[in-house]
Amino acid sequence: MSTTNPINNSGPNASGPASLERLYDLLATRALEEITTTESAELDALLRQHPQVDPASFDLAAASAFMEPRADAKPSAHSAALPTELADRIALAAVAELTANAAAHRAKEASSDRGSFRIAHARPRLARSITLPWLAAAAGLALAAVSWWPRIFPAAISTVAQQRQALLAQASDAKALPWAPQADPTAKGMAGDIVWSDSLNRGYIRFTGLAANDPKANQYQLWIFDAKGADANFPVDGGVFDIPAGVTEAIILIDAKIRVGQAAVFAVTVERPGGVVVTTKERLVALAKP
Amino acid sequence: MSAMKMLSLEQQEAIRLTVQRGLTQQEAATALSIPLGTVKTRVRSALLALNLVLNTPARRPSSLTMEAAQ
Repeated sequence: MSTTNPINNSGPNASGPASLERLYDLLATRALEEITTTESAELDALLRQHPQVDPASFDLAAASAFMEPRADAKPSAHSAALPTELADRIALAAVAELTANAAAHRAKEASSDRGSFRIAHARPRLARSITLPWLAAAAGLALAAVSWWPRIFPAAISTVAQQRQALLAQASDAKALPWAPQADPTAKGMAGDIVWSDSLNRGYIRFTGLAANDPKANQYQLWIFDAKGADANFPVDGGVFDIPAGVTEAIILIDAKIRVGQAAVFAVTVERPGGVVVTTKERLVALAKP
Repeated sequence: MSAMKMLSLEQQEAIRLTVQRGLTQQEAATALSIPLGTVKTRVRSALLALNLVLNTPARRPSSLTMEAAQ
C-alpha cells in the first residue's frame, strides 16, 4: 500500500469525503503558513481518521513548487517571509544532502554537541523518486539561504536534537523507547532509544556505542512494524543509515514515506548497501517496543 | 517537463503567490480579488496534483515478520 499519495483514501479507516477535504485544507494551509493550535489538534485528529494520508505530502509538493523557475526570481519582501514552518521543514530535509563542508559548518555551529553526529537522515530506499527531487530542491534552498535567507540555515542545522526533544514534548503520543541490543556484534555496548509519534508519522533514532559501518560494505536499516497495516507481519522500511567512525552519539531523523498506523515494534538490521526489500534478518542489531 | 506546467493557469498563479512569493492565502485572495475559498481550493488542488507527479509506486512487503523479530 502506498500512502505517499494523499488521494489514496480507500483504506479501511477512511472517513467521509468532507473530513478528507478538511484534512487536505489543513495540510495545504500548514504547508504555507502557521496554523493555530486548534487547527493543529484538528489536523492530528483527522490524520488519525485517515491514516492513509501522508502528512508530509503537501510539504513536499510545496517545496517542489518553491524550487520551480519563476519569472520574478529576485527575492522580494514577500519571498523573504516564507512561512517558518515550511522553511524549517525544508531546511531540515535539506541538511541531509548538504556537502561535507556544510556538515563541518554545522558541527561548528552546534558547539554544545561536539563529538556527536547530528542530522543524519534515514532515506527510504524505495522512495528516492520522491526524495531526490525534494532533497535536491531543498539543498538548493538551503544554499540560497546562505546569501539571502540566513534565518533558515543556523536555525535548522543545529536543532535535530532539539527537534527530537520538541517531538517528545509536543506530540502527545510520542515516547522514547529504549533499544534492546541483539546478538549481532555491532550491537555490543550499544544503547539509545527511538522517539516515534504515530499521529505525526515522525520520529528519531538515537544510538550510542553502535559500531561504525562501512557504507560500501553494508548499512543499517530500520524497520517499523505497523499493527494497523495491511499485514502487521510485514514491516515498513524506515530507511538505511550509517554510523561514521569516531561518532559517539548519533541522532537520525526517520523519514518514513509510508504512513504507519500504529507502530508496534522497531527493528534495526544490517543489510547490503542501499538496504533491501526482503531481509533475511540474519543480522538483527536491536529491537524496541512500546 | 516542469511539474508546474501541468497545473492550470489559475493553479499556477495561486502557487506562485503563496508558495513562491510567500503570501498568505488571504493575501493572495486580496491580490487576485477573488474569495479566500477559491484560493484555498486552487492551492489544495495544485498541491495534490504536484504530489501525484512526485508520487512513488506501492512498496513490496518484506519477509521480516513481527514474530521473527520478536
